[in-house]
Formats: sequence, C-alpha cells, structure tokens
Amino acid sequence: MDADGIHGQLDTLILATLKRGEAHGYAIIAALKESSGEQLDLPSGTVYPALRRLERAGYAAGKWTQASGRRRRVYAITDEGLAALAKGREDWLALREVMSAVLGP
Amino acid sequence: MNGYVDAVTASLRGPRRLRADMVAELGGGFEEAVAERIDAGMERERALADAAAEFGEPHLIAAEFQRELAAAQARRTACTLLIGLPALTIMWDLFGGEGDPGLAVTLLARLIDLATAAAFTVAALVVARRLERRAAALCGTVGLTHLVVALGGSLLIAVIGSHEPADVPAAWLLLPVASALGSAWIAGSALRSLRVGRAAN
Repeated sequence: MDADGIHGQLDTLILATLKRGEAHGYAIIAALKESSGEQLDLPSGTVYPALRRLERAGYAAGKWTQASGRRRRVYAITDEGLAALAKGREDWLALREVMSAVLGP
Repeated sequence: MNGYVDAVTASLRGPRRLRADMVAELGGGFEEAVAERIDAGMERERALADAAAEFGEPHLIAAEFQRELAAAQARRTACTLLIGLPALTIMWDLFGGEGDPGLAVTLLARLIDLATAAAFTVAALVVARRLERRAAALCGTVGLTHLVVALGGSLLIAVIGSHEPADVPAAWLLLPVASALGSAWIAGSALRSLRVGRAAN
C-alpha cells in the first residue's frame, strides 16, 4: 500500500505499534514494515514528525535514553493514546464496511 | 552526516530547543538506517542514497516538522499573552488619572480593553487546545494588534486627556520601564509567532 493509501491512518498505525511496548522512531519504522508484511510503502521520515504530533496531542510520551552509545528518543503510549487507538480502529472498521458495501464483492 | 538531514532541517523555524531536539532525533534515525544498510554490505554512498529515498522527500518531512514547531510557538506566544496582557493592563490602569476622563478618552480606553479581551481570548483558546488551525499566525497577529491599539490609544489618551494624573508613590515611577519591557516581551514573542506561522503555511 502506498503513502497516499494510508494518509490519515499513520497516527493510528504508530499508536498500534506503541501499544506493544515503548519504542524509538527507527524501531517503529521497522515494526510497521514487519507487521505489514513489507506492504507499507511509507516515507519513513514522516514517522518522526508524527511522533511529535502524537506527543503534543497527549497520545504518546517521549523521553531521551542512552543505550549502547546511541542516544534515542523513546515513546510510550498514554491512556489518552489507548483511547485514541480504540477510536481509530473503530473508524477504520466503519470505513472498511462502507467501502466494501459500495465497491461490492 | 550527509545532505539529507540538512535538507530537511535547514528551513525549519521555531523554538530553538525543540528544533534541535527534532534535528537530533531525525539525524539519529537516519544514522541507524544508513548503518543498517552498511552492515548488510552496502557501500556507504549507496547506503546514504538508499536511506534518503526511504525517508522520503525532504520538503514533505520538513513541512510536517514545521507544523509541530508552529504549534509549539503558538502555545508559547499564547502563554506570553496570558501572563503579559493582565500585567500590562494593571500597569496601564495605574497610570490612569482621577475624575471624569471625557468621552474620547473613555472610548479609547474601551477600544484598548476590546483589543486586550480579543487577544486574551485567542491565547486562552490556543492554550486550551480549542484553537489549533493557524494558531501561530493568529497569536502573532492578535498580540501585535493589541500592542498597536494599546500603545497608540494610550498615546492619544495622554495627548487629549486633561485630567490630573493619579497620585502614585515614587517607587511606581518604575512602571513605565516595566510597561515598556512587558510590551517588548509581547512584541518579540508575537513577531516570532508570525514568522514561524508563515513558515508553516
């Protein structure tokens, strides 16, 4: 799926990834690729501003960590983020139903 | 490291610390992407080009970062307005004289109150996250408009006002200095907000 296809869904996808555990930007990119079976053709750089957007909205909390000589900003999902993820999932399922109904079998 | 991170971040405008934080995070991620490719046997130049292609068009990433910087600057300027406007209003009220100020002075004073209320309301909405669209440009505009109206109105009041100035203690003569500093603080923040907001549009 190309970038336009997931436009507007990136925040939900990142929150779903963070629900599995805290992660830094590049690990999230790798997890998104892996969990989509390499089907997600996403400009990876967009994940970094998206993480800042989620942090500003209160859906994720970021902090700098130091490990193996590498400084990384690690994010964890918040309670508000979990609620937003549930809403995002509901919206996506509703959209999928509408698309299926209109496009037919 | 290479031109990619520079290409993304060169045009970013906004709060310095946040900007540096964003650059460090993106740079770190890009370094990891390059290192991963080199570990897989790719030559460095090819690894850099491949990582850049995977990260996406620099102007697209920059535009998204800039939106975040604009939101942060809007919040800062809104906080400046929420603190600075009541303080300035109190200081300017202390300059007020006694007795009947006359219709013109009363109208000018109400105009200043209106500009203060408008700027304060916009700032409160931004801090409460009820107003996010073009918030930086809006905060900058209302902040500067308030200062122009308040300073211009105060000047006119001083010129046409015929009443006696209030009898204030000598220590309060520092008020004009404090007022000027407060106005400069608000003007600086409002101008930054306008500049950052313009970069985000």
